[in-house]
Formats: sequence, C-alpha cells, structure tokens
Amino acid sequence: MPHAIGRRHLFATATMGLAAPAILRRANAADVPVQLISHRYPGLEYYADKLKSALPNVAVDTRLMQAPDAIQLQRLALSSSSNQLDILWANSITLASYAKSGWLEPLDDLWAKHKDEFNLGDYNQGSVAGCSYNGHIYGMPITTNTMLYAYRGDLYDEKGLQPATTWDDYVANAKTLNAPPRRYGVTLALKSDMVNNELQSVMNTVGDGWFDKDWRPVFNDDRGVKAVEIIKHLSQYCVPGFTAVHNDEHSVNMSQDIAAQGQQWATRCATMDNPDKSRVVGKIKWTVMPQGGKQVMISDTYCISRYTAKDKDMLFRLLASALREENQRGAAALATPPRNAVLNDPALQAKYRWYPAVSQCLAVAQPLPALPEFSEASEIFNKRIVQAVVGQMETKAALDAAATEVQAMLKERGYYK
Amino acid sequence: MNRRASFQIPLLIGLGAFTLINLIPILWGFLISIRQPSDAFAIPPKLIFDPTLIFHYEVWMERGFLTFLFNSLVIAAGTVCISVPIGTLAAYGLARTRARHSRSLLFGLLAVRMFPQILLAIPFFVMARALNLIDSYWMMILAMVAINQPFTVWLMRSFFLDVPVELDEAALIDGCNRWQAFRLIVLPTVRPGLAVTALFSALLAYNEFLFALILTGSRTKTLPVAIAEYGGEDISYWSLSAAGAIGIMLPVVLFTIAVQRNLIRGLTFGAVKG
Amino acid sequence: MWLFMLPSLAVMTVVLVYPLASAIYYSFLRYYLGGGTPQFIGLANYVELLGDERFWGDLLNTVIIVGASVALQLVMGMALALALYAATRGVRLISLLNFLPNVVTPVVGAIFLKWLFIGRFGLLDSTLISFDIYPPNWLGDPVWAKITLILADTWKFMPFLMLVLYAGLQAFDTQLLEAAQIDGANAWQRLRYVILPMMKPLILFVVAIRAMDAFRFFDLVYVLTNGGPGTATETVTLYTYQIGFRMLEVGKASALGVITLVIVAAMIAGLIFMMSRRGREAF
Repeated sequence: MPHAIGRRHLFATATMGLAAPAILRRANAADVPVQLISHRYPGLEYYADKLKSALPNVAVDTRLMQAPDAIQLQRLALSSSSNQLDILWANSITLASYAKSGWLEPLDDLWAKHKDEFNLGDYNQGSVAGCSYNGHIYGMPITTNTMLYAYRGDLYDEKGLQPATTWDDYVANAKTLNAPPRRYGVTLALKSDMVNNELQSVMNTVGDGWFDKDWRPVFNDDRGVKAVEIIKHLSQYCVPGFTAVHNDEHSVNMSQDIAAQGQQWATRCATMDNPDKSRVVGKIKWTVMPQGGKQVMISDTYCISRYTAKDKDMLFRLLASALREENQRGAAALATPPRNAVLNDPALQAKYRWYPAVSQCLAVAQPLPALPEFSEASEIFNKRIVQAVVGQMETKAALDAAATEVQAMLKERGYYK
Repeated sequence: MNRRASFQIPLLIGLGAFTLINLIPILWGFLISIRQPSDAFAIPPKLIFDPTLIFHYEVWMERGFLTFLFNSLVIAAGTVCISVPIGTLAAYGLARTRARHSRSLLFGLLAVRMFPQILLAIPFFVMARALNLIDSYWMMILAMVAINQPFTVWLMRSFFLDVPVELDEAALIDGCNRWQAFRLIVLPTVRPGLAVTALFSALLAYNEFLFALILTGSRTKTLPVAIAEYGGEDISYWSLSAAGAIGIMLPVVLFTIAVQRNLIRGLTFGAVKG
Repeated sequence: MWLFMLPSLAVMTVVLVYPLASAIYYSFLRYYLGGGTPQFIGLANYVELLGDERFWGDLLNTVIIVGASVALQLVMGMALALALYAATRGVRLISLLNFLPNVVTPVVGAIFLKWLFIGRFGLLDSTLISFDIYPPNWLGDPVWAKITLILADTWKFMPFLMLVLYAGLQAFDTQLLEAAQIDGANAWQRLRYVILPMMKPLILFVVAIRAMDAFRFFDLVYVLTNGGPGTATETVTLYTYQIGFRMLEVGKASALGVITLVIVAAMIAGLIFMMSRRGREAF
C-alpha cells in the first residue's frame, strides 16, 4: 500500500534527524575529552571515576569493559597509531608487549619531574617494577594483585588439618575434604588465560619456572613435568568442569561452600565476607601457597599512549592526581594499594581480615616472566597444560609440544639470535 | 492433520510443558537478576527468597542503560529503514531479471555471509578510523546494512518469485512503467514478507555485538556491548548483566508481537517452494 | 532492471569490498598485530594450516557439533511445527514464547546457558544434587561438553526452524492429506509418505541456512567452554579467533577464514546440487 512506504520514509527521515546531533557534535575535535580504555572491576571503576575529577577543566571519557575486549580495542587503536586513545589501562603482560611494540610513552622524565609533587617515592618497589620494561617506567601503578592460599578454617579445624606447607600436603588436604558431589576439596580455575596464573606457584616452587634467562622454555623439564603432574593429581579432588571455570566461577565455588580450598585473588577476598554474595562469611582463612609461595603477582597500571595528541605532561598529572594517597585509601577494600603508607596501615590491616595475608603473599610473590610475547606464548602452553591435566595427552608429550611451538613462535619474532 | 477435540487437551499440555522447559534459561536468568548472588547460586536452588529490584534499578538508572537502549534502537531502526527498502528493490530486480548469472550473483552475495565476521573487524576499524567515523551512528548503521543485505535480498527475492509474472505484465500493459508496477501492484502483495525481513534485520542490528564493540564509543554504545562489560571480576556484575539481559529483550519481544500477525503469513509466502 | 539493484549493490560494494578484500589480502601476508611490517608470503599460511593437525581436529569437532545440532533442531522443529499445526488454540502465544530463545542476544543467551550448565552451582547441577543424582560433567568431559554445545545451539535456533517449517505446513495442500486419509492411511503414514516428501525442498532450504550459520557459531563455545576441555570442543571459528586475536597472527587467521569460506561454500553447493529443481528455485 502506498502509505506503508510513506511511513517508512518518514521513519527514515526521523532517524536521520535523530542522528544529526551526534554527527554535528563530532565536528568539534578540539573539545574532545581524554579517552581511556580500561578493564572493568570495582577497583578500576573507582579510579576511573577519580580520573574524571582529577584535574579541573579536564574532561575524561572512560570506557570500561572486560579485559579481552579492552585489550582488543587497545591493540586495534595502537597498531594503527590512532590518536583517539590517550590513556589506557594495562597489566604487567600487556604493558611489556605494548612497550616493546613502541606504543607507550616512557615516563621516566615525567616521573622524576613530578616526584615530590605527588610523593611518587612512596610507591612499593615491586609495583614500580611491574610497570617497567627494559629499565624504563611506562605506567603508573594502580594496584598489584596476587593470589592467596584460601581455605575453610572451619573445615580444616573439624578434620584437624593445618594449612599445607608442602604441595603433597596441599593435595592431601584436598583429598581429605573431598566430599562429592556436594563439596570438593579444591577449586581450580583452568579456563583460557587463568591457567598460567593458577600454575605459577607450583611451576616456580616445584618446577624451574617458565623460561630461562635466554627465553628458552624450561617448563618441560623433569621438574616442570612433575609440577603439572601435581595439578593433574589435584584435579581429581577438584570441582568438575574446571576447564570452564574462570575467576568468577572460582569465586562462587568458594563462596557457595562448594570447595574447601583454592588459590584466590586478593581482590576476591572482600566478596567472601559479604553476606549478600557469600554463604561462608567469616569462615575463610588465608595464607601463603606451599613451599615458599612464588605465586603470581600482576600489576595494573595506567599508561600513556605514544600517539596521543594531548599534552603528555597534563596526562601524567591527571594520572598521578587520580592515584594519590587519599584516593588509594578510599579504594582499600576494592584493590590492594601499591603505596606503602596505605598497605602497612595497621588500622586497615585490622579492618580487612585478609590484609596481613596479602602483605605476606606480596612479599614472596613472583611476577610472570617479563616477556613481551608472554600472552602469545601462554596461549600455546596453557592449552597444552590443560590437555595434559585432563588426560588428552601425556604430560611430557604435551609440554614438549608446547616448548617446541613456543620456541618456533619466539624464533619468528626474532629471538635466539 | 488430526484435529479431534479429545486430542487437543494432551496436545496443549504437551506444548505448554515443552514451552516452559524451553524458557527455563531465560526464566532462570530473570530469577538471578532479582536475587542477591548468595541466593542466586545456592545449592540446592533457592525458590523462596527475598526478591530485590536493586540490580534492575542500578542498571537502568545508575549505569546509563537507558541511553544505550536509545542507541540500540536508533541503530536498529536506521538499519531496517535503509536495508529493507534497498534490499527489496534489489530482490525485485533479481527476481524478475532474465539474466543468466543472477543465481551466481546471489550465491556470491551469500558467500559474504560465510566469511567469519570476526576477521572483518580489523579492516572495518581501519576504514572507520580513516573516515573519522568511530563512535557515530552512521558507520554502525552502514556496516549493519551492508552485512545484512545478502540475507535480505535472498529472502525478499524468494517472496517475489512467488508473485506470478503475469501480475507485472498486466500492470505494464495497463500503462504503468516498471517502477509503478513494482510499487503499486507487486509490493503490496508481499507485505507479510516485508514484515519478516524487517524483523530479522532489526534483530540482527539490535543484537550485534562484535561490530558494535569496535565501531561504537561511549556516545553510541549499544546494549549488547554494555551488558558484556559486566562479565566478570565481581559477582554482583553477574546480577547486573542478568538484569540488563532481561531488559534488552523487552523491545524485541514487543516488536515481534507487533509483526507476529504478518510473520506466519510472510514465511508462508516466501519460504515455501512447491 | 539493474537500476533496481543499484542501491543495494552500491552499498555492499562501498562498505564491504575494502574489508573483504583486505581480509583476503591479509591471508597472503605474515601480519603480526604487535608491530613490524607485514610481509608477503604467498600461500605459506594455507600450507601451514592444512598441515596442522589441530585444524583438522577442529574441523572434525565442528562437523560433529554442527551436524548433530542441525539434525536435532530439524527433528524438534518439525515435531513442534506439526504440533502447532494440529493445535487449534493458543498457537500464537506458544509460537511467540518458543521464539524467544532466538530473540535473545547471542552473548546474553550464552551467559544464561552457562548459568544452567556450570558445575556445581548451575541450575541443572544444583537441582540434580538436591535429588541425590550425581550430575554429569557438562562442561568438563569431552563427550558431555559436545553434547552441551549441541543442546545449547539447538535451544537457540530450533525456534527458527519451527517457525519456518510451521509456515510451510500452513501453505500445505490439505486435499492431498484428506485423500490419503480416505485411502486408509493412518497418521504416521500420512506424515511419512505425504507431508515429509512435500516439505523436502523447504527442509533442505532451512538445513542449508542453519548449516551455514552454525559453522560460524562463536559466542556459545567461547562463553561456555572456550574449546575445552583441552581441544575437545574447539571449533574452527574459535581457532580462527585465537590465532588472530590471541596469537596476533592476523594473516594466518585470515587464511583460516578463507578456508572456512571455501568449506562452507562447497557444503552449500553440495546441498543445492542434491535438491530437486523445485528446491533450487529458492536459491
């Protein structure tokens, strides 16, 4: 019918009319706010908020989303030298990768220049190291996250167990507390990128780590195989479906009384004591992973893009202001602060049950290898490790295959001259 | 088909039960969105709980989902308003042409759809950036229209094939030119088909995630992108995404109800050959 | 006549030609997304992929999952369409409600399904546990994970088949059915010898569409299992994503995309070839 078409045309015109303001607004490039792409969790939401009010007259447009999406967008923007990204969230892994690709602005000079003004000397040394690559500082630390040995104090007491100091004890504890199908001894998170985090502790304390100093894989030596075998053994007492479990599912497993112990991120501790989210309020205790810990430590930072069109000094001051001490105190429940004054505050240590354990863990934590290609390498060996743990391949064969593939990849990227 | 009255009751009960089971994921998602996480994921499942609308409130009022809904609607509407008319035109042309290669052309169009969409992301980004069209409605609408065209053309063409050529010819003999024959005579007969095509076009644009992630920014962010921001890192995020997920369905459900009358008839006309 | 096609072709050419051409061009490069200049390497990516054991394993997974999914969707969709056809009341409401899974945003639908299948606090597990039944390992066992994905895909797309097949039934010539009934055929025979043969072109049509789309399905696998356990549920599209966006090898990923295109095109061409001439009209 003729007027069905007419209605459609009207609709189209209306749409264009609605879209016009958006197009017109874009014309004013000079007023474009500072653009941030970041991961999203409560701590980062807090700081993104602080960024918006950090400097007067500086508008900040924050885009927060899940890490894989954020990283994807950042790579797209940076690899095409776009000036549409000014500041970005990065973690230790992506920072090294971006810095090596030359996409980040080195901050040494700005750091020295503003050191007194923002009390930058107060930053925890490990955190600053986590923001550096090749001897240069590339980011400002937001928080450093590490994993703790979380266990159900009540269940341990019931069975007369002590927190494990060796890996054999850790597995034994899990076995003792294993009561399927309602409750399991341990919960593991072995989905995609969590594998290397979950394995870091055992690979460093039982194995010889991931790489040697020349970046050749060592995870497939005898001790590395033994490390993976321990996890494979542990998986017998683990909540099923662990290859589909990431941090959230892990957290629910702990908080819904489905697992008796597990390696838990410091940022998840508050959830355990929140009655809206947890059924085990007050029952979880934390300590260091067995045999010296050496568990994973990841720093979150804010970095400045080398391709930004804005004044880099202004951006630095923006970041430093948002991350100043009083803001870090406010975020203490949400994110472990990298500033010593806050971390060692006895009042905070008393208020948040897990703080003492977090301090202990940070003291023995070990960051992931500072290899810029670590995320690509971990894609390879994470898959193989899971294949070994679930029995799809023999452990030694899987790790050897991973080592070969990683070496091939690194060789292509210019290593092993 | 067997339409005995005594058969109807068990049939309806069976259909009802099946429908209920089919909707469990959605119903469960809704239940999660109105409970605190400690209740939502309890074992055994808690059927008695204190409902709370706090997540829905937070999602719509505090986290700006109303704006994102507006963006999604604009993009969906824009896509439909452009894609359906030009697709219909092309479909008519293809249906009535005697050219030998029309089927190959059609197959070529479909081939576009067979290429993994994720791989188009990088070139699209580069293109949008070069034209300075990131975070604008137009780029997103154009992308959706272009991606949608093969399916639209294909679907509408099958509707047009159902309309006997004699109808066109009669109109031409009566003195209409091609355009008038199309607009006044042929097009009204495929109105149900238009409804079907409009629905699927709208659904595609409304539910699109990957391209929205890459091509939109803070101003034009759509609902699927907004919901995906709350994937992990805190359990309450799950409740928020559940609330958002339920909310995002409402406009589509309404739209489906609106075109439902035409939907069945439309599919009847177009999809059946034989 | 070609004037009618002009706007559509113009839009598609302008918007799609560059991305498609780029993507195909990338497939002949070694293009690392982290910097460095892309290098032309001819067919090396293709050779590497076709010799990759993991690719063939993924292809097999994809074929198994897609094949079983489409078969299940077809059977269920047909059954539901027949039931709707036989019903006299509530048809609109029931068809609308059953259409909802198709309407749900894919990402959202995947999350809903995750909350159903995740062990042990997913709805399925927690219900089974409360009845003292030991739940299967939906997402962690190689066989069950495939089954879960098949069920998930069916849940999402069965409504589409239901709708199209129901429409087909509605256009059906009832005289043929009545004649068969008079001849003494019972319901089952009527179904098998009258209805199904008449629906054959339509069935092939929807199977073709679904197979084409299912081959590219991504969200469900990514959210539910991420290809796990190990590589038991890794599909070709997931591997493509991993190569391109995790290993940052855009060239190789594009090559895999082209290979996917060729496989799907061949599959569809084969299906069309199998159709009767009447069925081919739809294409």
